[in-house]
This record gives sequence, C-alpha cells and structure tokens, in this order.
Amino acid sequence: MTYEQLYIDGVLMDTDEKTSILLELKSNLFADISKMVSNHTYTVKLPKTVHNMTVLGHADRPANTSVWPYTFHSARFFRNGVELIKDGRATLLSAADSLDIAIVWGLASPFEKLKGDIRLNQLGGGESIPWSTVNTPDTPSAFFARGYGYVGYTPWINDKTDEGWKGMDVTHTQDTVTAYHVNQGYTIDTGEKVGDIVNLNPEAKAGWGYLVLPFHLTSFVIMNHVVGGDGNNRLWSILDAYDRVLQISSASTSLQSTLLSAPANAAKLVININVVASQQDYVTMHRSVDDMTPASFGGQAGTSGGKYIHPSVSAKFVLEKIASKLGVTCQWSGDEETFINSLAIPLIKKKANSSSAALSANAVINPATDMGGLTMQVVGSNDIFVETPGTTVNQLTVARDCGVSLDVQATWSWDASDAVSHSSTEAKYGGSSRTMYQFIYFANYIEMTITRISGDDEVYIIGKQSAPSAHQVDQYSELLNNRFQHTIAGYGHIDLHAGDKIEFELKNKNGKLQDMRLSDGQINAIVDSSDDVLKGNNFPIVDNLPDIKVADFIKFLSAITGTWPLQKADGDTITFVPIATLWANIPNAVDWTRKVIPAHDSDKPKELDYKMDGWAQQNWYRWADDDTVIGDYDGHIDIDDETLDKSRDIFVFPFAATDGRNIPTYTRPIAAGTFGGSNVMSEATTEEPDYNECKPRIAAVRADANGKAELFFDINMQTILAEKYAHMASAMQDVRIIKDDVRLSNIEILNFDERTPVYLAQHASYFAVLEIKAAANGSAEVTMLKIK
Amino acid sequence: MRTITDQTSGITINYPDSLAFAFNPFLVEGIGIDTMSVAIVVDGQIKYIVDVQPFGNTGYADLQEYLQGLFTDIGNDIDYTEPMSESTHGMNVTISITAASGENEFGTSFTSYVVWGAVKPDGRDDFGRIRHLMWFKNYPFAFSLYCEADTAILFGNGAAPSSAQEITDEGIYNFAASNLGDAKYSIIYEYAGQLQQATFDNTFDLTFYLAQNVEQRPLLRIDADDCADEGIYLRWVDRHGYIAHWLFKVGDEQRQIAAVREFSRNAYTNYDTHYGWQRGSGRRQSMSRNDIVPLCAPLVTKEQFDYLQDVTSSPIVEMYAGKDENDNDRWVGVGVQPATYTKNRDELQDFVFNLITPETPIQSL
Repeated sequence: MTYEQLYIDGVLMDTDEKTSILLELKSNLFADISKMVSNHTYTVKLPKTVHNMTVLGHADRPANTSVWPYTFHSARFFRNGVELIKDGRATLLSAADSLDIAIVWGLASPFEKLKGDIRLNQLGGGESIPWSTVNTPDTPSAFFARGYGYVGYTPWINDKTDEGWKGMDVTHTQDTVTAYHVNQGYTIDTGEKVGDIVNLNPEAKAGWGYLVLPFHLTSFVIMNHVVGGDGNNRLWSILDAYDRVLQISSASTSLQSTLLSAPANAAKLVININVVASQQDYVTMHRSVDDMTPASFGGQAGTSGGKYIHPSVSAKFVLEKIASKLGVTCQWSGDEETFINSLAIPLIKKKANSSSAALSANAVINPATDMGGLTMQVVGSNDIFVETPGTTVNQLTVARDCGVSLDVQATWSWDASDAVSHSSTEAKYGGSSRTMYQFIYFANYIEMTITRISGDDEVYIIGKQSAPSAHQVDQYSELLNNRFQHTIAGYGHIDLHAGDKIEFELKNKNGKLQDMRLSDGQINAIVDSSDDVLKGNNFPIVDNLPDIKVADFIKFLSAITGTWPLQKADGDTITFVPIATLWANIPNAVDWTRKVIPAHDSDKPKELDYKMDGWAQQNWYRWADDDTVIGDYDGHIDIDDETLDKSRDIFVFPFAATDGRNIPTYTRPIAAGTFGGSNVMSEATTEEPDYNECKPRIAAVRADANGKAELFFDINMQTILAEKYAHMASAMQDVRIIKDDVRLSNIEILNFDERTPVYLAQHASYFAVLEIKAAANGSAEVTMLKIK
Repeated sequence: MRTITDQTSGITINYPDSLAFAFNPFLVEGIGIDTMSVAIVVDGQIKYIVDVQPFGNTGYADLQEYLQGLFTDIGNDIDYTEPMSESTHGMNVTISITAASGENEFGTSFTSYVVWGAVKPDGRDDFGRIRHLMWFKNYPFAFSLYCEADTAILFGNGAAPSSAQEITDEGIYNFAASNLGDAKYSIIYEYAGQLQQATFDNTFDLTFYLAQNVEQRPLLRIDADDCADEGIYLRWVDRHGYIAHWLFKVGDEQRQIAAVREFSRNAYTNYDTHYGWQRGSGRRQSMSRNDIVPLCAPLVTKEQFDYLQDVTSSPIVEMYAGKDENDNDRWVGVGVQPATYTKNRDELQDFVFNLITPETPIQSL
C-alpha cells in the first residue's frame, strides 16, 4: 500500500489509480557534456476532478483566460511520507481524459535558468574602466579583488611580414666595446624554434640571469664560458623587429669564445646564462654604427609595457555576475575552485556603450580686468581634469589619456569713450552722404598653453593673435554704451595625456586697453567617441565579454576541470564534483547485492549493453577554431572499440586556445627608419595599430617578475584528460551497462548520491549508477555502468 | 432564468435564478452582443474571467465548473453541539458581465445563491419538498435546511411548533438535534415573515404566537428512534448539499486479498547451500487487502428509499467510529461499491448496498 501526495503550487492534488508517478533520476557523469539532463517524471495523469481543475485554473476550458498552462509551477511529491521531489517544476502538458502533468527536479530548476539564450555579454552591470593605448597591468591580488582590470599580455598579431628585398649600406664609426652583465635571478623567453614570437617578460629563476640587448647589422657579440638552458630558456636567440626568432641556439648549449654576428634584419639579442654553471656572467658587445633611428626600434615588445592591452575579467567575476543576474550559483571546491579562480577572460571586443563614450568636462574662466594668467574653475561633470569642481585654479591638469574636442570661448570689451577715431570715410547713399569713423587697435586674445608631461609646450590661440600689420578695425557704429565688445573663440581636436597641464593667459600685443573687462569665459571638452572604445574612453566590462551562452561557459568550466554537476541541487546552487570522486569512493560503496530483484533464473543482469550513447572511438574536446593559434591544445579520449563511429566532437569549447601570452588583436604598425645612414623599416611609434578581433580567449593569471598580473595559457586539454578523465577513460574501454530491478526504499531514493558507487556480488563488480526509474511499488529499474 | 435588456445597446442577457446549483448548467447568455466577458466574483474578488465570442450575435458561457471549484470547504465536518450553523455547501456568488455591441457597452452584475448540489433535469426534483428523516438518538444527528432571508424556522414537538429560530440571511443551515423535543416525531415549519409574540413570549414555547396572514409550511418530518444501537452509522452529503445520516444493519464481510508482486532472489549467498540449492526459500511475495461490508436499511418507505439512494452516489460518505478519548466523534471516510439498484412498487422495501472499508495496510518487501 502506497501513500502518494502530489502538491502543486502548495495544494494537494487529487490522484486516482491511473495516476502512476514514475520517477527517473539521472546522473550526468558519463553523459555527453553538451546534454546535461535533469531528473524528471514520466507523464503524470491527474484525474479531472473539480478540485484539480480549480487548482489548474480551469485550464481545460478554451474560453478561460487562465495563464496556468504557460507558466511553471512548484511541485512537491511525497511517497509514504518521504519527500522525493522537493523543488520540482510542474508543467501542464495537455488536458484530455486526464490532466497530463510533467515534473522535472534536481538540476532542472537552476539549470533551466542558465539555458536559453542569455549570453555573457548580456549579464548587465555598469562596470567600466578607463582605457588608453598604454595601460598598466594590475597586481594579481588587485585584479582578482576587483574582478576585472588590466592583465599583461602580448597583443600583437604574428603576421607574415614580407618586406621585399632591401639593399643596405651602413657607415661605420669608431668601434665601441661594452661588457653586459646579466640581470641575475631571472630568465627570459627565447622561443624554441625559428619563427616563434617571444614574450620579453622576465620570470624569476634563481641561479640564472638574462639580457635583452639591441643587436643590429655590424654588431657582434662574444660569449665565453657560458652555459644556457633548454626549452624556452635557450642560451641565446636573435629577434627581429617583431620579436620573432631569426636564429636560436640549440638546447643546453655551452659556449667557449664564440662570436655571434647580427643578421641584416636583426633587432635584439636575448640571452639566458646559468650563472652557477658558467664561468662568466657577461657577454661583450662590439658596435661600430650609430644607434637605430627611431630609437624605439622594437620597443613595443613585452607585456610589461601594457601597450594596447584590453581589460580582462576574472572567471569568478563572471560566475558572480551569473549568480546575481540569473540567481544560479555554480560551486566548485578544492583544486578545481582554485583553478577556476585563477582564470581570466581578456576582453577581445572593444564596443563602446553610452557610459563609455559620454565623457566630458566643463570649466568657466573667471572674469578678469587685468591682462595675464587667467583663473578658472571646473563646473558640473568632470571626466577629464584632476581638479575638483568649484575650486578656483590657475591651470587644469589632465587626468587621462584622451583625444578631446576642445571649445574655448570668452567675451571681452573696452571703454572707447575717450578714444579718438583714427580715420573716417564717407559713403554716398542715393544723393546724401554719411561719414564713417574707424577705430584701429590691437585686439585681446587668449593663449592656451599645454605643458606636456614630456616637458614640451604647445600653444593654441583663442581669438586672433594680432600681427603688427593686422590691427583690429572697429566702426564707430559698433559701439555699445561707448564700449567695443568682442567674443573670441577657439575650437579644435587635441590629444591630451594624463599629467598634461593647461594654462590660459589673456594677452594683447600693445598692453592693456582702457577699462578692459573679460567675462563669460567657458571651456567645454568632449572626449572622442565612436562605436569602438577610443583612447580615454571608459572600457565597458560586461558588454565586451565574449558572445558566449552562459550555459556553454559553465559547461566549458565543467569540462576543463573534469567535473560534473550533481543532481542534488541545493536550492539554486549547482555543485560540481570531480569525476575521480566516484573512483575515490569505491571503499565507501554501498552493497545492493540483496536488493536486486532478478529477472531470470540465474544471476545474470536483466539487460546488458556494451555501448554508451554518444561516444565514438575518438572523442574530441576541441578549442574553438582560430587560425592565429599555432599550437595544438585539443584533447581526445580514445576508446578501443572498433564497432563505434570513428570520431566525434564531444565538446567544442566556446573559447579558442592561446599560444603563451599572445592574444592577437593588433597589427604592429611599421614605419621607415634609418640605421647607419641607410633606410630600413622599423616599428612605428606614432601610428595607431590595426585592430582585428580574434576568437574569445581564456587563460590563467600569474604574477610576472615585476609583481604585475600577466596572462599565461596552460590549458592543454590532452593533459587535462590524462589527469582528470583517466578513470573515466579506462571505464569507457570495455563498457558494460547493466539494467536490473532493485528494491529501493523511498529513503534510499531520496538519499541517493551519484558520487557513491554500488557493489553487486552477483556480478562481483563495482558500478556507477547512471539512471534510476522508481515506480510506486518499491522496485526501481536501475541502469549502472561497471567501473571496476 | 432571469433576463435583462439594455435599451441603448439592444443587448439582452439571460442569466440564472437567484438560487442555483453548482452541478447544473449555470448559463449566462448574451444576445445581440459582439463580445462578452463574464467575471466570477466572490467576496469582492474576481476569481475567473471567461471570454465569450458570439456566433451570429449570440453566445453563452456555462460557469458550473468554475462554481464547483469555489467550494473548497466541502465535507461533513459539523459541530453537533451547535444549535444552528451555516453550511459550507452554499455561497453567494456575484457574476459581473461586460458586453459590447458596436460602440455600445453594457455592464451588469447579478448574485445567485449557489448550492453545492444538483437537481434532476426533469423538473420534478423539488428542492423545497417535504422530507422524511430518521433520528437515531444513540448517534450524533443534525439536519440541513435551505432558508430564505427574513423568515423563521419553527421546530415542532410533534406537530405543534414549540421553538423558533429567526433567519436573517438566505442560506443552507445545519440544525442540531438539540432543537428537537422528546416527542416520537417532529415537524419543522418555515414561517415566511417576522415572528410576533402575542400575550406570551417564547420563553416557554410557541403555543400562543400571533397568527398573521403569512404562509407557514412544513419542511421536514423527523421520526425519532431511541432503541437502535447496532449496525454501521453513516453520514453523507446528498444531492442537494444537505447532510444525511442513517444507521444500517450489517451483513457478512468479504475480504479481498490481491497479489502486488512475487519474486525470487538470485544472490546465491542468500541460500543455505548445505542441503543443496533450495531456490524456493528465496521466494518472496507482497499482498494487498480490501474489506467489503454489505449494509441494509430494512423496510423503508419509498420516500426514505430515495433519501438513502443518495448514499450510493455521494462523493462524501463517512462511517461513525465511536468517540475518541476527548469524547469527540470520530468519522472514517469509506467507499461504496458501484452497483445497480432496484426500487420496486412495494410500500416498504429493503435498501441494500456494499460498503468498501479503507484498504488495510499490510507489510510488504
């Protein structure tokens, strides 16, 4: 005898003998990761009693305006007093002879919220951060505390650069010889083969030292009794202007009195010396040519410069956004949590939004009656200047790098009552004539001086700077209350840098006019804006997150951590546990030997299958395809079963892999330079680089040698599969899935934990439970996979 | 059926009488309408809205199922010590109608007292007919009456009224046995008007009340039986929403045992293999049990036969199970086995049916 109680929206429903509630509990452990499923019931047939129909808002009548069938309803189900379904969601499928209801629970309620089309860049929130062409990376702790900020990486695209053939002729000067000692305690990337782009950011390593030297045609280096490393820390490599390896030493080279000459297109020499193993910790450089012009040849290399890096967002910040926006918390623990918390997503896109572009500042120039420096105060909104609104200052200090449209206006006047006109002209008007009197004088103007942080001054004129030949000529008729009144203005686009100072000075070529008064001075500055984030704009954070579905992001994190979501959802928290947990729990397995209800007169299972749905011989976990990625970071689980399909993509990640620290988003501009009297191509410092959007990226964050955050990509899926999926892969080699009827009490069904394996003495094996179909009569059809 | 016509719009609404039954059609018909929206209002709150699209300017809505759903407190849970209590088997429902014809809108509303019951469709099922009840004095007893507003119920001790209860609001009321006197029977009357005292008041009885020119009609005859104390005492809700009681004689019980499932174990360690492998010892079974009790009301009148017939179709039948330790009555819900019943032309005949007691819990594996 079974007592079943089904509550919908908190109301006990009528049931009859046709209302069989068959529960299906699912484990997502071995399921295809892209198809996570929830526990669910088979169709529940409720009798059409008056009470039931009242609870369902009489949804069985077409004329009724009830919205009941179009919404989810809370469901609770008790069997013999045990609450088997706690946070279920019921839907009315149809109303026929009975009311057909379906209930999902477990992972469903939180996971349903993640489904749908909500994407990371739709999570909302007003976070933004000022962006410039050069951004200083945060420290890792500051970055993770804020959740977003700047993390160093190399933004350059490794383009093929065919400069064509060049002839060079270099004029030698006096040969200079310099001994360079290594910077001890660090190593630096040298690349591993010709063509690699290296990242010139030193890493701490005791017993080692590094050098990065300018290295041009005609230069040569002598290395004596030095020992280098292997891998990425070779003894030496020669780089071109793009930090690309031109020549490189072999691994673990030890050199004695070796001379290394510069190739024609060389730019830098990178050296790592094992100072413990070497007799010398220096190299000797011979130079006989003036330095390269422009001097910054190759200067954009490295990450510590922070040139053209976009903000990055920590994975944790995104998860918190998901929790606050969708109300679903995804929970990892232990190593997996640490790993996810170390991840950051560099923002590839740079779309502006209303908050990023509408930056401006307004200031008024205080009235003046004397010539010379003017005072002013910032009023209203101020996104550009350091000064506090309302405070009178002599100069404005720029707070951020930006391009601004600057509009300066002022009105000035002088008293001409005592003045005598310089000349007069007579004009004829149809027979009568009229005498015009002219006043000629030097007009006032304002000189705006921008003192650059580099020390250079730039002067802009507001009004007209009167040349001796260009006097102001005013007519007597233009006198207003015996005063001549002028409005002067200046307008234009100016690039400002943080720290620049702006001063205004009222000037006149000839001194001060009588009773001169300056009034109505205004300064309006508007930062450049476009659809893209420009220098000086605020970089919107969430809007520029990748266009990836929230559910795909969570599945990706689940895949790279080798975890699966438990069905037992605690409210709206989804708990992810490592796959290895199941094997680790074998000592705690439960013994279901005597619970099995045999289907045959033997000790064989009711049903035995040899295939797992959705798996092939080669099962790929792939990173998103991105042509700019050179390395291979995909992984696959191989199953030695020739009856399966050859190959299948289990999961194509929404992110692309990354080579080292290279997020290829900008093409370095190249300009003509000179070297030793000869014209060469070099990196341009003034031109803006071209922007190209690459596939979304994700990488870990660590501290560089300067303690600043930098990205590094270390997520090789094959390694992760070997480490985290090893047990699962071996269980997949000889799949044995059995189905048996098992006598499970309601308490056992309620407390069923996917993490706990089951032991069956009949089969002398351990099994993982994949599915439980629990009927009311106490027996359940259980699908199990042999794991040991 | 009632009718209202709006002169401006030409809309006619036909709607049910002021006394209606939740299990009979409750039709709101609009004639000359383009659209009509019918709202069901209880205690000032809109419960449901039904949209009616007409065909050829005429359309209707049958609200009976909505009305049925409004009764959330159906049952026999009455207090037998309370002399008079309002039944939960009836309620006032307001129907608010908004109809439109062209640019003219017409809104109206009406109220019906809805009884949780039904009348036969042949029109001969008189809701207000005189009924004949039996009061088994050894068991809890109460009776229900539908009363109109501003009337009085006179309780007779025998045929003569001996006490009165004034009714101000229309409704179904349950009256306890304490209203009845010691006579072998009691006649209950409806007095359609205000009860006025003449020389004497009703402190003692109603022997001298003022006979006015108002209708006084009998509603019930209740016969008292103070001897019977054996049998099964049932109560149920009849087709008119009234509460009913009867003490039945008991026949021989039948006990149905059915197999739920039977299976054997195949884990070899379950068996004692010292004497060979004995599979049979691993066989297990699970059963379920139902008890059926035949009940009889011997030699009842034709009227009482009809009255008892409702127990076989009532959705709520309960069996008296004595009193608990606090002297409260205990009632157990029971079922009635579906069957065909024959009512012959004899003046007195037996009424027999089968009662199904609740399933008996048994252990299972």
